[in-house]
Amino acid sequence: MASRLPASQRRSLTLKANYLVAYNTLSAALWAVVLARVVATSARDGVENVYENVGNYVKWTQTLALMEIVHAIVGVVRTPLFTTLTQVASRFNLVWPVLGFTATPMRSSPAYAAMLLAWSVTEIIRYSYYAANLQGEPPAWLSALRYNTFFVLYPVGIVTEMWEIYGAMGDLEAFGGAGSSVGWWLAALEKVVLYATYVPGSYVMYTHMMRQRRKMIRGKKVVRN
Amino acid sequence: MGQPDLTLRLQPRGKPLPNLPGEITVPADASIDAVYDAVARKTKYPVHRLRITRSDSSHLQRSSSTTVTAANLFDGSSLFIKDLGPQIGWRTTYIIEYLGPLLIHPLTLYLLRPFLYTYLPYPPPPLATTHASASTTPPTRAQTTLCAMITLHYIKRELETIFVHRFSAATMPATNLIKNSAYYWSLGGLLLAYTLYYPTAADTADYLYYPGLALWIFAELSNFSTHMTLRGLRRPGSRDRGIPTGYGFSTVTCPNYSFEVLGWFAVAAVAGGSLPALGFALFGAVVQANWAGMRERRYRKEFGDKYKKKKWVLIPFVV
Repeated sequence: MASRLPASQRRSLTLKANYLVAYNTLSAALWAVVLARVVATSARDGVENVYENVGNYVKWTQTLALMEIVHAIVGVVRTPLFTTLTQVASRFNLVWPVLGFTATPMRSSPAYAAMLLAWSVTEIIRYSYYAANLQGEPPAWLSALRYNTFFVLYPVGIVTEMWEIYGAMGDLEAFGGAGSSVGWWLAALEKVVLYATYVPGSYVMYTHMMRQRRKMIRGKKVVRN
Repeated sequence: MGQPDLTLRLQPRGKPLPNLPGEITVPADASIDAVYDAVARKTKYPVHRLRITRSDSSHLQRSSSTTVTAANLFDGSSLFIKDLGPQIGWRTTYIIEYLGPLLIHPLTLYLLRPFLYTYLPYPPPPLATTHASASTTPPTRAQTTLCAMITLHYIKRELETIFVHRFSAATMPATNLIKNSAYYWSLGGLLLAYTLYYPTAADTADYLYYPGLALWIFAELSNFSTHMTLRGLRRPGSRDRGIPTGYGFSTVTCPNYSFEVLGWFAVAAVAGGSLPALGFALFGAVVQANWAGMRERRYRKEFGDKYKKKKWVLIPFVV
């Protein structure tokens, strides 16, 4: 197929691949910094000071992931928009409304540090895997990490995220000050998110990764035989 | 005439079709539509349920003017036939999905409001005001305006669906009716109505209300103009495709979506920056940006060099 494309399009394909490699590498590096800073801050100042040190950095690193929605829209990646939207939206919800809008005490909860550990390790592996995959076969150890670590990291991420949303509910309700209804609607939305979307959403994500894992293992066997 | 007939080999794609013959013979100057009709007759399936692809899995697009020879089919070419399942017309789907919000908004504000908010939660009143009961608080200026705006918007859409849009006689899977209607009836209808018409809402300040209203009128008129442009691309009853030009179309791929999005942000402004209204506008913007992206890619593929590539598909300098 590719060879039949006109020269101008063939060049844009490699341009696209180069851009995606750069984007994924940069994202992996940014999350590696998150991981290092979370570990260093926790050791030096204690887990309750993680947000103060890393909060802003995480917020903007996670905001950069909005680019993934743009990628789906302009068609540089094949992932369907809706899949990307749900993945990005749940993280965005945590860093902006839940933890970013108010100075909630949930920022100093140990759950916050645990959540960042789960996020950063997941993202380092995921983005490295994408970057490697764009340049050919990713190394076996990277594939192994990508398709095994989620067993532990997903539940940690999900539980800590839910804990953070649950704990911040009161602060969200007060957002906007007395006389404003914004906080009330925000809290109503977060209740819907927490009680109605997390459980089915987690099930879908987890089983999706298990299917991918089975596919990957089966693919390997076919290649080796 | 004079040219020999073509024999096309037929194979099912996906699940087997019970009455599918192994091959059909058509004249060399038969149109693609004639091939579709022949397959439909033999299989006893409605023609809209069938999707025919070539052996390289490219879609054999229905056309009354393209002949089989022009579509690169030769004697002995293989075609793959897929049953798309029960289909429904686009027009029918549109009429039904818009009917939800069209009825739900006025019903909620003028009929259900006293009962609805007696049983469902809503934000507490601002401090220093007495809590009037849900059943006696009259709607604010913003609320009556919003209800009129939203109802008029959907009336416009219904009228455009019936009188303006020229659908390519195509259909969509019947399950789409459920999916689309669920979106419009629940999010555009119930959710928006419930979050806009609650009794303790403060009226919107003039500096948001009037500009919002003006912007909305501009957006709706502009949106209508782009729909008329798109109508002009297709002769009645045809499946013509063309490159749209004119108001808005030189700036972005789908100005019809741009103005639609603008209209919903204007609604959010008249609603005083209501969080649910903003969320609805934003979600609609992302979905329509995605459609616009797909449209841009289709134009580039379909029209090649004749099409001047657009830099922005929905909102200049954003996406």
